[in-house]
Amino acid sequence: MALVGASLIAAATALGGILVHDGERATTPLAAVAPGDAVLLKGSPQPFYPSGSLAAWEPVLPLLATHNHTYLLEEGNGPLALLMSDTPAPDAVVLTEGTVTFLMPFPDGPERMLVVIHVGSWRQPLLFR
Amino acid sequence: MWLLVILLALAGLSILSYALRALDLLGAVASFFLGLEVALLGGVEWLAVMTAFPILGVLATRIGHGAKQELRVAEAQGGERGVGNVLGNGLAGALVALALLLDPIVPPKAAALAFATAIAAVTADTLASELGVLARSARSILPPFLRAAPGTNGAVSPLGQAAAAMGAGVIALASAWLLDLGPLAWVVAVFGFVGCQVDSVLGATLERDEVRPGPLSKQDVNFLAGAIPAFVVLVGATLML
Repeated sequence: MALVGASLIAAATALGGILVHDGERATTPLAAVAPGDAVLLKGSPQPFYPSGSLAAWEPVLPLLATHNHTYLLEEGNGPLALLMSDTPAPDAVVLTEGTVTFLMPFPDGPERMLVVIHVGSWRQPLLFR
Repeated sequence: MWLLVILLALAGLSILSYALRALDLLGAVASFFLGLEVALLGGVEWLAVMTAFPILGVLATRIGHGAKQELRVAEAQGGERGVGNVLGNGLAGALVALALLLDPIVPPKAAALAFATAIAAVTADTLASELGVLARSARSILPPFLRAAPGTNGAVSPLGQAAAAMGAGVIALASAWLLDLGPLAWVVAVFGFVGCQVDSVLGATLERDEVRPGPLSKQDVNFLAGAIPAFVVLVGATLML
């Protein structure tokens, strides 16, 4: 019986570790972030192409020039994340760890916010995609 | 999925406690449900802080168990605790966890401080009781501080007080990390230690035992020792945070 108990505890610990690794603990709510905040986001980043007038993207154009890989991550109707990285994102659901560098109204829809994030690392979930 | 983690962990802890004869069957069941309530309200971190108490308690119970048996102060049934012990020690923390439902009237950090204080108090009291009984001498906590046999209700010793301070300190450190209390953890350590003193005062005055009648049982005193400092911290932290 002690073995059963210990096994259940071990299973809980292992599952909890996987859930943490897979970002199943709530990712950072973008609506509440500020420049300098560390964030963790989960989703499938899409390659970013600025649409409409480039003038509307002027605040972020200098940032676009310093990073080779830029992606957009959208979650529902909330703020959009503009991810800037020195390395390409895996073509899958990823966990993005980064730092918020800038906030501005989304040029293609000013009612939404655009959160510009410098990506520190990409990480792929083990199980829970 | 996190609910599954909580259920697995609680079931494992309860079964392990029963198998190791730290708790009897009813005690194991009671601990499962108390832990479930705390985990559902506060999360895995709150459950982890709460779990530190029985781990330290079981370790302290095992220390000098033979000597305690000779002194006839060991817990009955080989140190096995029942539902009364579980509720006496865990109910205060479980009730404080309900304060999380009062957010934003009660800030979550205030609830976390109070919860950790309740756990620290019962941990300090348990360690003081289990280790203090091995002291060579003790005195009553109340004036005129007469000599008393170690293990007597209301008697304190340097060994017991050191164990209480250590118990409160360990819970304070754990909560500083797990509950993100940071420097505020000193509140947990101090008021947890105070809770142990409350237990001794109530033990010397209102607790009934073999030689003296009283309105409070041992489990009532345990509950109050956790609940009183937790309530003070909850009110104070709510007003100041």
